[in-house]
Amino acid sequence: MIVRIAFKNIWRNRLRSWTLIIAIALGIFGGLAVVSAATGLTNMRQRNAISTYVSHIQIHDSNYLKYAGLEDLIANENEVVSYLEKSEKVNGVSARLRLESFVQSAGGSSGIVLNGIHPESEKQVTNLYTKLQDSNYLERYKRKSPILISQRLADKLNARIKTTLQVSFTGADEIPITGVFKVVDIFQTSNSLYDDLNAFVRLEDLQALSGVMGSHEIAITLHDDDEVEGLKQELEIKFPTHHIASWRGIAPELGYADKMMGLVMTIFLIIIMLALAFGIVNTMLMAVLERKKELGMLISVGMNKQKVFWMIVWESIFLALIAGPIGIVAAYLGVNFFGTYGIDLSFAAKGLRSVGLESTLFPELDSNYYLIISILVVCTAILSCIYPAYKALKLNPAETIRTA
Amino acid sequence: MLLKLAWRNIFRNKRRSLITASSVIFAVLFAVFMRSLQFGAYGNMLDNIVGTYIGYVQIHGSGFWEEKTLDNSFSQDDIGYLKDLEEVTHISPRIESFALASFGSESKPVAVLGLDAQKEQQQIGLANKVVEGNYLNGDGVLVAIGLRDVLQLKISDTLVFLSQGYQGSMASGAYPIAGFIDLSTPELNKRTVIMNLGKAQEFYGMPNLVTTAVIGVDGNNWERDYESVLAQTDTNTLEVMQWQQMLPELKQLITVDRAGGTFILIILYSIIAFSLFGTVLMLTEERSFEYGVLISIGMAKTKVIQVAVFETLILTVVGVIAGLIVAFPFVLYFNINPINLSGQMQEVVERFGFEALIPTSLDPSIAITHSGIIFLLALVVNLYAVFKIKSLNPVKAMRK
Repeated sequence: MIVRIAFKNIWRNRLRSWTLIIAIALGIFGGLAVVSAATGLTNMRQRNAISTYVSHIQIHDSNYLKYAGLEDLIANENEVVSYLEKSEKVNGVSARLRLESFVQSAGGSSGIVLNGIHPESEKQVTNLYTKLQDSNYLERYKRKSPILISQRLADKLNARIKTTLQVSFTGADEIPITGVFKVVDIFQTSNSLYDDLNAFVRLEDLQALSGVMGSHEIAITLHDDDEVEGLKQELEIKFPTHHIASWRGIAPELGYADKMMGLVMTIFLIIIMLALAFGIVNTMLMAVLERKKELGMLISVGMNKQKVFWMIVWESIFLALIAGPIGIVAAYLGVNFFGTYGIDLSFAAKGLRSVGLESTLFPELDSNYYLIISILVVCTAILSCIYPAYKALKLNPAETIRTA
Repeated sequence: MLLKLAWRNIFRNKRRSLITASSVIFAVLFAVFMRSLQFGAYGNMLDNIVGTYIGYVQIHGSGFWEEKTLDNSFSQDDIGYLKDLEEVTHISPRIESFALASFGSESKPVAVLGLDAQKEQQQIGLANKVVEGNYLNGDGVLVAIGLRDVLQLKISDTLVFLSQGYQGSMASGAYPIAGFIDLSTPELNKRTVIMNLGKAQEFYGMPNLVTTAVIGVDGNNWERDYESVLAQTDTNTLEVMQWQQMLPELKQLITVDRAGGTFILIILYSIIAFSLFGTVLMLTEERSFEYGVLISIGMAKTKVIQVAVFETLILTVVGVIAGLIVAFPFVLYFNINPINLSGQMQEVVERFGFEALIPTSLDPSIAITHSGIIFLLALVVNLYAVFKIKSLNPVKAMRK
């Protein structure tokens, strides 16, 4: 009964109801939009990091991570690799020899890490081959040793495709070694920090030049992201002397960035919800004031005060229930539209690359959030009508009917 | 007369006035607080990254930024005139280059910074970053802690450096380690060695030459100071750069973040607008009986509207001022006690080169801009009352 009266009351003053409905719907929409943009950013960073440089699992010698020394090679490399290649969970395995070196051209010099890779197996693990300017990957060259450098390094060295670079490092038995490589293509990933530090050559060229036979790093990708931790444990049991880390351990900042973004977004959401709450309190208070006479009348003809209270609460519940779907549908359409077409941020492409992001943002939203944000907003709406409803309780019926 | 009427109306129904004013107060509070938080985060980032090592303004030999070779260096005497400029608080001359550092059997490529010990103490507080051993002295160099761990170095071990010097000469030398420093970002910590400027000039074979001079200016007025330094400098041989040119990435990140912030602000303002409107709507509704009476006893509609507008103006002004007064302690509190992203998150933030703190900004222009916007918003929303009175049918209004 009270519920029905409340529902009918809403439609007596449509302008007021729609004002509140739109405000609540905006709260839901805004909350969801903010969360979806944040989720899109975090997932993009994570996916990029995994597919360009972190991979799902990396194996090193236990000393390598500490000292990154030349002799900290992976023991029993062949055994490890063949075990991985047999595993059904594994998508790709790539062994790398990593040497800290100093690269020079006629136009400049820089310190980098030289990665010796098997071009074919690297393709299975990272998407480096898709990030090339001219799609000239490493495998085809016979005469001169080929090298892939990043656009940023190329700018620093004043190098182009076909430029010859001189690379120096300490080789096996502590012998200083200088080698010559020819730039065959230039790559650009979405992480400029990574680009600044890495260049790629063929494993056999680097092994022949340095005299270091073996690899420092084995990177693995899996078919299924959910099997990462399982395989990690399996490998730890099988190869107890190696250091085995999943992407969460290698790049913990990916997970933390998540949390940090979450915290900042929560602060903004709280501010938005508070603003919404005070808006509703004020409007409902005014609504109670305006209906003073009517409410007083109801009480004097014998309506229970409690019922008046619940009537006002139910009005807010209905407003929130109408606003909920509107906000959710608007957010759903928005997220889907921009999730498909993307939000273009190319005006800031360089800046985004410096923190590992691409310049098109695709908002994403876990279906849980629709529920969470909606419940949050509806609760805000209902909580904020309690004070006005309480005020209605305190009305003195005799006085309210007398005054205008 | 009308003003007096408006004044009395406000005090006739105190609760109603309070509700109206409070809707403005909260609007100002939320908008100003949110914006202060957003701008404070950028301000902090600028101070951390720009204010310290890079500086707001730098001078190089012409072409150095494009092509960072020692051959594009310049003589310290070339910028002597800057000492006379009022805006310039200090000048930090530097050599920034690379070398291969060897210890025992290991060698690592490192960034070699030749710095003026006293002046860098003023610019970046370098001595405070020493975690072990002594500050720069004579031959002694400072080694970043990441490099210390990789090469397993101890105080007074000798590092051997090998590099290309000025105009293609061969540079080599051995230097003892005076101390270890923590530069707070892991990337810098892994590959930085700092030596006295004089020693670096000796090592690279470029007496009295430097690659970079950081020009100390006032961080709040760096744009103006940049202009005056630029005006005094011979741009044929030297280049003057401000931080936005040197760190375009940071500038862009701030732009993107600001766009995100603006989006959140638009949502906040929409919600504020609707709640203001809700209040005004119900206020007009409540008083339509009263307006009907005024009109039917012969008061001109324009005068009724004027009274309503005066009331709104008074309440809005009071609301905006009260809102600012309420917002101030909040903003001040979070400026002094910044929101701390402590624990694990700190690592990430520091990895990207800034402190894990989000203070609020105390810039008064934020308060002025946003209270101004809300003032206008409140006035626009109140147009509803004006239209309502204009189209009011007194008979109908009073029958209710």
